[in-house]
Amino acid sequence: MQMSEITLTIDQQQVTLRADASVLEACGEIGIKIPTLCYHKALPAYGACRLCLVETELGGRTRIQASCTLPVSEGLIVRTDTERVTKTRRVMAELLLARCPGSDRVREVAAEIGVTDTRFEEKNEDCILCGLCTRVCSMLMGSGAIDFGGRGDTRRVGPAYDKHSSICMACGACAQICPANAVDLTKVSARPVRPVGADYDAGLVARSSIYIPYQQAIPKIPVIDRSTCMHFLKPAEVDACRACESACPAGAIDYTQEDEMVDLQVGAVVLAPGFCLYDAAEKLEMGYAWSPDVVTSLQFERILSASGPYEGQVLRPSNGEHAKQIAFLQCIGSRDDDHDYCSSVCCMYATKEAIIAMEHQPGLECSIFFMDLRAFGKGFDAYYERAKELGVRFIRCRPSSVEQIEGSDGLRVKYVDEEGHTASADFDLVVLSVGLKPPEEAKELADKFGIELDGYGFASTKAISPVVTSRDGVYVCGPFSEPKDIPETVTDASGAAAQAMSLLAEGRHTLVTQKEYPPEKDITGQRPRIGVFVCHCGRNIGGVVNVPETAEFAQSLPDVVYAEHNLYTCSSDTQVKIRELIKEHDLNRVIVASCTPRTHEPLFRDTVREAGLNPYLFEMANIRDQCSWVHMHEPAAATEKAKDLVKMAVAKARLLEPLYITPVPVTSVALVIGGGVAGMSAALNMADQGFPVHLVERTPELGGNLRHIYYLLNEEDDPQSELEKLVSKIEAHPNVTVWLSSNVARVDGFVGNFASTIVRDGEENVVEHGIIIVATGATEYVPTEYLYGSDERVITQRQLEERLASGELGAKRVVMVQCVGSREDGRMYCSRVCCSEAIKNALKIKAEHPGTDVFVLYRDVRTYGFREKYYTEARRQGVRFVRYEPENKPAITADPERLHVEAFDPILQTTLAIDADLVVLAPAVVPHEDAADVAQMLKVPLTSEGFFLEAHMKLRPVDFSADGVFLAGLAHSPKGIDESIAQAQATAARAATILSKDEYTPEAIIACVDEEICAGCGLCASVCSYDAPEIVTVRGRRVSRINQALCKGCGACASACPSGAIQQLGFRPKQITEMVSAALEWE
Amino acid sequence: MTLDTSFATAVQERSGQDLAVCYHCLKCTAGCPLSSHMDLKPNSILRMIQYGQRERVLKSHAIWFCVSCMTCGVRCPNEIDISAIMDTLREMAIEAGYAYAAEKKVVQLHEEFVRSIKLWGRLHEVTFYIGYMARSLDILASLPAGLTLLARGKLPFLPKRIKGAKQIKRLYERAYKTKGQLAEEE
Repeated sequence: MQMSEITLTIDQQQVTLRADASVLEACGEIGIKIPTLCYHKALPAYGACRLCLVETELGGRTRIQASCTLPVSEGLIVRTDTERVTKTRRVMAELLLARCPGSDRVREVAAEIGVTDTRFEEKNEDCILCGLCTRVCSMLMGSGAIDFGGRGDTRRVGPAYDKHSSICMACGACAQICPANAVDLTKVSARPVRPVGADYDAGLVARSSIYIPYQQAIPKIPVIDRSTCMHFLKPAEVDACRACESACPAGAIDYTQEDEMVDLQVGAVVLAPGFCLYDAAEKLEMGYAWSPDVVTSLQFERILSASGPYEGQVLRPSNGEHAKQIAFLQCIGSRDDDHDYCSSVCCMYATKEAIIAMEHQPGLECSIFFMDLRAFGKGFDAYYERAKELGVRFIRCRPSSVEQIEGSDGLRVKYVDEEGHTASADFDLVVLSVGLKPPEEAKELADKFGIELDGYGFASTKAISPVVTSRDGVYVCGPFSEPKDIPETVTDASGAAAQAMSLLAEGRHTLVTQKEYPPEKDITGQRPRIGVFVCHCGRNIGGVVNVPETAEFAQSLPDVVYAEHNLYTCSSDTQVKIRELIKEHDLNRVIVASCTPRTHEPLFRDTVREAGLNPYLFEMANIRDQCSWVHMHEPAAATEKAKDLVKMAVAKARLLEPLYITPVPVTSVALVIGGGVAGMSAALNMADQGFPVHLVERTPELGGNLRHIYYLLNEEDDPQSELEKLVSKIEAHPNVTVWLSSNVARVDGFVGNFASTIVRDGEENVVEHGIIIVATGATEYVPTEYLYGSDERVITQRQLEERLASGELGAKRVVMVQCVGSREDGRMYCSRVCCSEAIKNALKIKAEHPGTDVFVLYRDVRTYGFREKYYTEARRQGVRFVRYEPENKPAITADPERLHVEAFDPILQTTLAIDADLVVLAPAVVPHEDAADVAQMLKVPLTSEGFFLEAHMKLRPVDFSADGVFLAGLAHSPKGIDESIAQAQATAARAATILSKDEYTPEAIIACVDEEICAGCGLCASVCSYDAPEIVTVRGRRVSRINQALCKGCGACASACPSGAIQQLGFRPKQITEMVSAALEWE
Repeated sequence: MTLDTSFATAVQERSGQDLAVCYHCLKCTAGCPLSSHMDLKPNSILRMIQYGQRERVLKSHAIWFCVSCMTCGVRCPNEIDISAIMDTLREMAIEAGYAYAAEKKVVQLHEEFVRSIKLWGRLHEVTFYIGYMARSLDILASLPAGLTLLARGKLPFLPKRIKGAKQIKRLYERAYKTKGQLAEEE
């Protein structure tokens, strides 16, 4: 039934609207502004503030009435701006001002109608008795916890009987809606009034019940937390709140959404649920529970972040002042009786946080209190040394507590210094380096997927199969199996993928459908017909830039035949529209003025292609990141800039040319250089995936360094029998060709198309393959110190292990010296495996030769992750650990009877004189001598320490920058067997991304050479990081030729080329200069 | 160097603490309210025990400064209760006859305290303290505090009798049988 309509007259204008409207709403319809304080469109009108008074005339009678509570009536005459109305409103404003002289909002509204002071006696109230809070509480929230009480002079708003209300849900609606900021929830609610902490900002920042989880969320849309949202907390029939629904212009809120159950048939499962952090509040003595200036490391990351609550300023949460001294306390919730493991990442993250904090705030002093500094990863020890140089204080002591300094708001940490004296230091911010724990859903996941968890609650795996769970077909990666850092996590992830791929090898491509495209239109000879689509991006662009105006401007530009604006150009319905419009208007160039190409350029290129145009006839103008986002407060200027950007895009678009990619065929064969555990694991996985593999080993035997390992720390797996199994699998596999006593002498070609020469018995064999895996391993430093080589009682850990494996020892007192050759000038890295090795052998000695004294002289004990418990066991068994500093190394002298070891014990502050029968050294893991030759042959780089350098240490730990070449095992850096295997499997997964395709599709926006102009100077080749330009001889002349498959389109060669022979397709000089001309309006 | 492990074993057994597991994080020493007064720090003492330095440890003053506040034991990540070890070391020091040489007054106070309970079944401050002052000739130490207590009527002149006095005496006898007499009473 249609609502009947009523016509009335307001300020001599006729207004027709629905019969249930108020006069205030009618005024709103025709744009007449009426001052209000107690009105809110979501709530019924109350008429408390009396500011919306208007003069009405009906049937000859005139009255002054509140327009908000006055319903419209047929023939009503309303006057909103007569002198009488204005005078009366002003008196009301004066009364309000007298009641609440301190309220900013009242002052603001009063000033709008010309009232700045009051003749009435001033009181000092905050509340204007508008009743908005009472109405929102009872009508929207369905609680009714607060209401008016008292009468006349004593009228006030509060909870029943002025007692803290238990009905009050502390939702905060009243505080939010109050125009005078007069609500103090702590006086109203019986519940604790605590803001809900945003998970992403680690509780530092409050969020509402509907929120966007974080800026990088995918999809980046809000979610409703049903545990705090009033609509869901209240019974359904109350239908509380719904404020978000009324606010959303797109009508996107749907409270009826339920979890959808989807059935999936899969062949393999990869679990990557991550970890959760130790709850620092458990350690009461550390102050987290009572001091706002004691934060966790994750909270400190948010504090340091430019997008965090303090925008990267290092501020104290308690008072917002800049922190001057920060303490980092390590091992909070790790390496203790409840968590006998090391969380592996905290030493490094604390060091990083300290350095970054000091960068953000020069002059900041950071002190890190630690036990052993676990900087065992690639590049980490060098970073630690740098931190020391930058002035970060490292104090080797685990403080007992954090205390409030009496009479001040600072924090005091008592510790013990190097000489053993108790000392204390004051700080204004303390960061607790909390440990990693299994994720909350660990138990649930384990039950659901039928996998076992270990004693700590992490997913149980084996050393020889590090990403495999106790259940076939279910794999894990990342910290779910053991706390680990980013490079290891990323490696794990590819490793798990490799396992899944080899399991499901037969199913490859069976469920994939190829996309069909219409034939490409030939646009040669046509004049440019440009279509421009300007995007609002919701309010992201449209809220600052005048998008319709920009679209209109675009239409006016020469060669633009069509322009429009869209709310969300990237939405699927808009893609359909774009395709239709391309056909309708016969467009041959398309421009989208919206966000950065990094978000949706591929999508738009695809749309354009689907409409039959070459995808490179598309251009984007970034009017969001580079316009509306940075000029948020200057809409007019931003609009002009957006127009300029569109003009520039149009200028370029006129000169866009179609670009074509020639796919390169791929030889789906792999070459693995190195037959150790890494090489074999990679080869086996790729062979299982169905790819032929050439495995080249230069010694007569497969196995590498694993041949020298007889037992593992965990005693569960037998490395020699595992090695045997691996070798038999390799030798028996139909897809693997093993080349023993062979060398790779030469590598030609590029990704997908390599041809390598393998030399065996003097004979050269050329094999064709698509990828290369470098698994050449590493070797042991041969010590010259500590009498090694001159006294046969000084041996290495490897030699000790061989002895112990055969049941011998021949010593009553053994002294082990760690870090021989590692962590010093020229080799500032940690060899990672030696602490575990030493402890492994020490435990073996204690088990098989009880009564033997074992001393371990160390610098830091780096038994990271689950290796920590073996360190504990070693101590329990009586192995004595004595720390030494590099400036004060142990001294070893020999006489025929014993070896004399002198070591300074920092705990006892005396020099120990130990008579030993055997000294065991832990030498550094060093690259092979010819690593540099291999690197040159493959055209891959080395680090300054001589190990191979990957494309990105954290995010691409097994790739080289050069496409198609991958890296695993000791060749990358020192690591344990499980880590080598995981990394090897990761390379197999990465290699499969190339080998599984028939063709390799290179980039189309690449460099191209005009051979007529090219002088063959070779500057381009020297500048290129990807080895794409090659100087060849053509008809007697040297010219540069770009390898399409390798070129990444970075433009370095084009800018280096002195003759201008090289141009970047898609960014030709003329295209760029036209854009500049358009921007500067040159003719 | 000689490594006499018997001392470490004895301390470990008697105290029930697995002191070999200590990794010298220094938390105990950092948190000990008395550590700045100690000649040997708590964690150093553990190491010395491990290295068999029996005499040095038992003759130290440090073990007598420990007041058994247990801050160390409660916070030790390896759950070693150093105060229990200190207890054991004190017993051993008394047995070895080193106690008097180290901190005579502490031992004397302790012995008077123990004797008072043995006599009355319950501590009687006045006779206990007089006994201590007589033995140690340390008259002035707590005199101001004592006088204040007296003025406030906190020091009853007569000892309070308790019902279980005989049972307490029997406890003592049993303890003597297993642990030996107090040094002073031998």
